[in-house]
Amino acid sequence: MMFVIARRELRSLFLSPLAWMILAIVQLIMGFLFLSHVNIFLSVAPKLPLIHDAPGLTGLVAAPTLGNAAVLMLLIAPIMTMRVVAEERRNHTLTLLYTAPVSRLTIVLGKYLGILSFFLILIALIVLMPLSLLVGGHLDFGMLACGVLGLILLVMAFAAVGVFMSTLTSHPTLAAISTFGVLFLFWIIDWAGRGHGAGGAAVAYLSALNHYEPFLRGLFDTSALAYYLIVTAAFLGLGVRRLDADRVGA
Amino acid sequence: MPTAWGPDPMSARRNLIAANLGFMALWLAVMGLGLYTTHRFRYEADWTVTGRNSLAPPSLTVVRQLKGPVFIQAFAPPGTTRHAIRVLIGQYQRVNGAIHLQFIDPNKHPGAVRRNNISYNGELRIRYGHRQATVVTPSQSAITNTLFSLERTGLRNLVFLAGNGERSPLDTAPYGLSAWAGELRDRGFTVSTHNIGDGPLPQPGTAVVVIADPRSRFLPGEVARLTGYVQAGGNLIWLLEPGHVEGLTPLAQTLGLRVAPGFLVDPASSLLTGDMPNFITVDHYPAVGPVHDMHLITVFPTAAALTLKPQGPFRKAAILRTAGSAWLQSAPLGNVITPPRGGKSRPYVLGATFTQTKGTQTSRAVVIGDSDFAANTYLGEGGNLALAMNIANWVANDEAFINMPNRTSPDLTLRLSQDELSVIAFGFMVVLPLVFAGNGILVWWRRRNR
Repeated sequence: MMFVIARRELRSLFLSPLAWMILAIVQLIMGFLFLSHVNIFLSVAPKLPLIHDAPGLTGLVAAPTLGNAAVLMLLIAPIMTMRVVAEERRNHTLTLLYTAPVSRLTIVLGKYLGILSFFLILIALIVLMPLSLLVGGHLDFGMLACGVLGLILLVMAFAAVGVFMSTLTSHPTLAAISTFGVLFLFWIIDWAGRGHGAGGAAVAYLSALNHYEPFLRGLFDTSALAYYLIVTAAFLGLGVRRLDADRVGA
Repeated sequence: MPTAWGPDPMSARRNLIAANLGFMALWLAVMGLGLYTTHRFRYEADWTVTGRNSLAPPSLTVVRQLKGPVFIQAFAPPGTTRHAIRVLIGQYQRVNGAIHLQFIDPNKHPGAVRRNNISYNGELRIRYGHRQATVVTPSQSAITNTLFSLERTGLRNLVFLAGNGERSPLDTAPYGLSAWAGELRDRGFTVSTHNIGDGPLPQPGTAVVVIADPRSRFLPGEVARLTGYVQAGGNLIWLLEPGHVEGLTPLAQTLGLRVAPGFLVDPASSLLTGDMPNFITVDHYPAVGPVHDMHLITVFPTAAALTLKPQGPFRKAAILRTAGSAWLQSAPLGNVITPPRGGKSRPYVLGATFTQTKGTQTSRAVVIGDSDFAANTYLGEGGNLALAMNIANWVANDEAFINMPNRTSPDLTLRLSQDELSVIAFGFMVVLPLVFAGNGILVWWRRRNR
């Protein structure tokens, strides 16, 4: 049942021009950024053999591309998730879902998986770019896989925040703006946290960016993995709870 | 669990809010605990092919041997430099928990900067026991070798002669030696300059004297001081340039060496470098002294040839030899590169080691017919840096330098034809976006006309 909801969600996304336009624009922007990284690489490539432990194509093209993709995801996640529950609530179709023999958890997870599938398609398109370089070079696949895993985890957390925000309101725009606010806060939180002591360290720990960076370097860290999974679970859990509260009328 | 259908709607509602708040608090507490636990007990794995996020095996050996805590002070303002240092030192800390890193903002602590003679952003001050050393450009090789050198004692004092137009270890110009000096400092050497006219040379056995390309004639008294130093068992590095012996012939005679007039020309070298044929390359080394494990090509722009005499108190070994296609020439290089009339091609020696054993004391000297190879411009060429460092280590009786394996990425090159590049660019930036946008318009059109 969960996957039925997910499939329906994904289908309805592609039945609106919004998803297509986002694909087109992301593709255009990422293509541009990717090519500029390739250009930079081609200009420094002759000097690389002279440098001890020089970074290669993966480190100089794939990793920065994935890094840029994260910023774009931050901007897209609110738009893609804003309608997921809020619109149903607005159109009063949520009640129809409630009457179906499915639990709130299934509803939230189903809708979340639908959104996530869209993001996975988006990531697949982005990963195609560094892979296209195999025509004329090699890649460090371990490092690339690690970076892609990091991006997927990041997007999982972003989408979870968006889905939760969408359960809170019946105005998609409101959901989008608050999602953006929360995500942006998670992004910049350590700018202030570069202070001192345990407090600063704790704030820096919360930063979504700090956990993404090691993945881009090819360093798999269970702590970062757990961070994203826990953030995802936390917001999805809150979303389920919110729908439950809906039912009892709080 | 309170419900909304209780007898008193108001209190039921209050109960519900309380339950919700309770759930929130509990939920966030569980998640926070999860975050803390996973942060505390973590496992890291390096997924890169070359292991570039982990310490190389030689570093592991050194770090595991450390017997006490290591305190590292990093002089860097908040920002990206700190992050890079934290990542680098983190690799060490993962192996040895007794390595402590502390950041000092140079802008806020100018006193500490002056006290430690810090001149670059990102410099590290490493303290181990009573000894400390500075790492100017933090890298795994520099840090590991500094840790290693802090663990042992050796003759790690290089004195560069000054006063006769020699190249200076402080000179950052293209032909200066500042880059080499920086590397030497990173690996635990102290580098200083000494004007030979000002006072006596260091006692033999306490330092290595470096003569780097003097450009004005040494006075007879200075020459006597130098030959006396070498005869008494002093260690010496002498880098000379064609035509610039500058009165040091007695020193050469003491070592058992003659500097041939003219400069070396080797057409085979220019095939390798693409430069003029007076840029001599060496790619094979005998298994002796400072070059015993060299395998990189070294480049010597304009070099003099050395003739080693069999007699004398010094044992001599040629360490750098040209290919058989080389010859000596005095006239400037013309457009046509041919051996001068009567000259013939043969391998020439352009670098040699000299050893003398007196009792238990062994003194070492290295003479190279070129000094450009160690200059800032050429130090990065091929194995020049490695050669310069190996020479210093060997003369200092301290060959225990740890060579880091070069973790060459498997993806350093990208060969794309213009057509391939165009297809990639066009495909990602034009075709795919147009396809998606077209689909979007199609969907919009269908919905509008429904």
